[in-house]
Amino acid sequence: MEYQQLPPDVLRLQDAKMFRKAFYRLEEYRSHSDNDFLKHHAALSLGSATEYRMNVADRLFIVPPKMCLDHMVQELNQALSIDDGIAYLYWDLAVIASRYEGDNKAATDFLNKALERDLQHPMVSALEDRINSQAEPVQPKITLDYQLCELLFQLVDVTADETIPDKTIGFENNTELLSMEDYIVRGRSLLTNAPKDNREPALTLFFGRWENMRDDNFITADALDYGLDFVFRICEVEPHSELAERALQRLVTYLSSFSMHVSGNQKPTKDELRKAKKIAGRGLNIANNTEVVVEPNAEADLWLAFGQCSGRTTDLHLADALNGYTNALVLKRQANNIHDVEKLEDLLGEMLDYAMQQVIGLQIGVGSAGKVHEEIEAAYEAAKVLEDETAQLNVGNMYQSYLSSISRPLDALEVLESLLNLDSVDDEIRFDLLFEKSARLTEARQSAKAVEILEQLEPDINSKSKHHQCIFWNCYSNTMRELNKLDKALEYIDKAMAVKPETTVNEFDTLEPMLHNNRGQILLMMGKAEEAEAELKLVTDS
Amino acid sequence: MKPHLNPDSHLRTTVMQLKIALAKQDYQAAVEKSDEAATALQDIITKGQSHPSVWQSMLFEWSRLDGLQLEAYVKAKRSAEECLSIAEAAKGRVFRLFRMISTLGINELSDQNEMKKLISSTSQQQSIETAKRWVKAGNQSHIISFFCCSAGIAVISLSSKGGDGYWFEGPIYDHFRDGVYNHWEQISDWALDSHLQSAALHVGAPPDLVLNSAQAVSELLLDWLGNILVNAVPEIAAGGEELVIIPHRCFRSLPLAHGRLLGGKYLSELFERVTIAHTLSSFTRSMSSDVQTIKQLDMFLDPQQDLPLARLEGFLGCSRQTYVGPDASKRSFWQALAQPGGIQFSAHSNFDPLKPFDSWLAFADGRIALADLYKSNSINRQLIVLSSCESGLSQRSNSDEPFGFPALLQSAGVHRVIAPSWRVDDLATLLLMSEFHRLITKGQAPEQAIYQASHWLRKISAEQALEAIETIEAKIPQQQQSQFADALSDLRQQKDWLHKIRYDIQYPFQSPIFWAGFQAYGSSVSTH
Repeated sequence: MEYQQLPPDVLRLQDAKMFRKAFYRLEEYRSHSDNDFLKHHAALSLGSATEYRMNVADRLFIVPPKMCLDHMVQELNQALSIDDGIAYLYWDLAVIASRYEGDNKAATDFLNKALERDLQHPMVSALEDRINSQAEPVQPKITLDYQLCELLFQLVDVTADETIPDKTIGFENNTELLSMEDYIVRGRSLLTNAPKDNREPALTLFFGRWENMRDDNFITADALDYGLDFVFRICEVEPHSELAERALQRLVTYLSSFSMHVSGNQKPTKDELRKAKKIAGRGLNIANNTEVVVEPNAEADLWLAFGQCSGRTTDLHLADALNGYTNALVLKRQANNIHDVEKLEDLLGEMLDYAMQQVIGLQIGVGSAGKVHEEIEAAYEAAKVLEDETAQLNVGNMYQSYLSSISRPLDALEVLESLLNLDSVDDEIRFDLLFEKSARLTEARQSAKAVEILEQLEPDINSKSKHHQCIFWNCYSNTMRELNKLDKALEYIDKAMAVKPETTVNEFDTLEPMLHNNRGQILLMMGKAEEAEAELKLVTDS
Repeated sequence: MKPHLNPDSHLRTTVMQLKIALAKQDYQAAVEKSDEAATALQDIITKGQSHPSVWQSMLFEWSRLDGLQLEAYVKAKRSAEECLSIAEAAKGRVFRLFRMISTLGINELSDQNEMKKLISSTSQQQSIETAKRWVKAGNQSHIISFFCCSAGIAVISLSSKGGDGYWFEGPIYDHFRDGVYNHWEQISDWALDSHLQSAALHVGAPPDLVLNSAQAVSELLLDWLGNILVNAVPEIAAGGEELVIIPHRCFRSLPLAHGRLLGGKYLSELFERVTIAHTLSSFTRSMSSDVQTIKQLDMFLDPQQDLPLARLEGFLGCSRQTYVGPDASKRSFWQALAQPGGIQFSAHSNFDPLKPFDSWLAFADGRIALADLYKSNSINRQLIVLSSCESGLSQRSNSDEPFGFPALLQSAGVHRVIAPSWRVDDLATLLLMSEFHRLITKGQAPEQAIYQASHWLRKISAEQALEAIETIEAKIPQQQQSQFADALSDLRQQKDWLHKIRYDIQYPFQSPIFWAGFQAYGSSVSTH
């Protein structure tokens, strides 16, 4: 295929100021089918990469470091070897030679070549004046803010088109490969080694120049991400400063909107949701691991973004969604953001309803394990934050039952205590909660305390359903068994058997096997292995 | 079996049948029922997609059944390999699942048959074969695996002469955990708490009350551990080349390597090496990196500048690179972890027994959580010495999971970890480390050096301790003395104390509280 116009992917990269990437893409196209049109644009892309970097250096008020300049010159020459007819490539070489290298003779040659190629540039006469006056190269004053901006320049230079490695530290073709952490360590040590009084003014200049560049949309998408992170980590050296707070605010806000943007489609894919979650998670990680104060509203937005990408059906993580919305709600309340609080209460309420539907009917115990620990925990927390007592009772009861099933009766007891303290607990609910408490006490080997409660409940048990009565006597029997009062245990398990309700035809009868098993256990403890075996036969043979 | 029983009832009933068979001493039937119950439970657990939370919530039932199954197998005199496969399959299940998820992704865990293979005792076959080859290659080497449950304690051993299983009947473990372990842990923690000692003095209690009580309980504990081991595996009384102990539950936090036998000898004296392994598979798994003799350690000392004596560990003789105070940063530690060789970390740390992954090591610029170390894939260290309080502890629960610094660091690639199981005393640790470093410099393997140094500390007199302190003091260059003024002042106080008690207390560090905390955790990689 012969290209006579730029392919859309190249255009997109050029629009995003990712000129080196655009160049490599064009080189790929050229390797399949080359022509003058592609050559011209490949050379232009490479030239634009230099142009962009020179602009960044100007805005940061620095001279590009030697290593970067060498790279630019090398790229300009490469571009010229592809297409010698582009005046701007010579113009850039002329500017570099005169301004940065002080080689006015070479600059003259480059400028002439540019003019021969019909260069139109408003700064031509200024450069000619500079060359004619044999001006010295620009000699910057190396101050603390200059050094910080120089590091930032290097970071933007690399990350405009590339993702930098997490860890790699090494040397390749004389080009120093630094990880993000290396940039940060270098920047922070510049600050920590400087006199304390110099830090604030340097940080103010550094932060201001970065902000100006950002405001002008001058940074590519990836470089923006790295840059925000870098600027924050530098300002973090003075964690209680206003600048550090602002830098963190910028970073956190960027990450929450980035996350929302990624997951915000009508029908986001699983990959998009996971990417969005990673972004929000990164923000939360940063916010959790810094001394710098995070503004509650901004942190809440991160949690909201985290909840948003966890609560979509394409990639549902109910616990994360609940935790995200719950934390967001707490923080929005703290920030007194009434508008968002109302919206979040609705959102969390809906999510909690959904979660409760998911766990309703959950049979706690052996074989019930498909339900997720984190979900019940998160749902209980959400119900508490929403101050929804009905939900607290529903979820709390399931939660304590779940805790019991994973052998954490003491934690279950704590949940039960807080449920018993709710205002909306009436006599009937209190009875059920106390009954559960007695079961948990037995599990926690506090059978004596359990008996105290069971004795208290016993007078009212006959007014309950047969099912309740059966469970009650079974529990009472278990408690007695734990206390080694085996005669009583046997008496109570027989009472449980006597009131056991019939099951319907298609229903699995779980109560009967349980009662026979428990009765068998008592008989075994009494040393009546044969009788215990016979008891079990009632389960296996009938 | 009644066809309409649901899976839960089926399992519960089979377990009951197993209990009855055990009570009737029909061990063959018990083995058969235990297999049936294990299959039923595996069916329930692997139904649908496996998920860590499912496993976690099933652990209690699962472990209870493992105990019953092991009891049946040991009492039926089934082979040690079979018993070992049951005991070891139980340990670190969730740990293995986490590893698999991080390598394969959770979607790979949906094949029920594959998952069953992974969680059943057959998964241990390869480790057991490796372990058998390992004991055969050694000279009187033993591997001893514990399994603790309410019904008893199983001790399964492998040696070049074969294997055996031993069952301690009754609720011995529950009684030990509730009646001894909890209180011993508490009192050994108090013994080195200066605030508590001042408070005791304030109310007129004898100054050594808590320390002496802790010593008494600890001495009895070492005897008890030695007894358990020698009763189950009498051959260990003869000592040998290497003893590997794979503990379970709260035994993971006990000084097992220092179990004392009737003749007064400690296991750590009878064997050239004593290694605590977290699981059989972690002990036998092959490690890719080369094993080199470690004669030097990179030292990370006192990042928060409040442990003056820890800072002196940089002068003990075998430090390669030393990071002290602000230089002991997270960054430098991460970088150091990526290099080969050994590291010593002497600083504050915290072990959270309920949330072990949140445990941390303190550095000048913040903390590194255990979870981050575990997740890291760039740890190349052969040895890490954690000279910080309680860093050898494991998750505190009735859990089969060995979650703690040693196990998780080893899982992240470290061959050996040396760490204490309780609060360390500053002076005792400095002296212990001085001897440890001296032995390493002479070419002694670190895992041997730590035990030799422990026994040296146990046996030194006040005069010898004074000499050792003076040797350390002499190593501080004259021009750096002012930087170590606080440490030197501490040492002066300690010397005054030693001087004062030299005629009253023959061996000032003979309490196990001082010398028995450190143990070597690791794999077979650096042994024969």
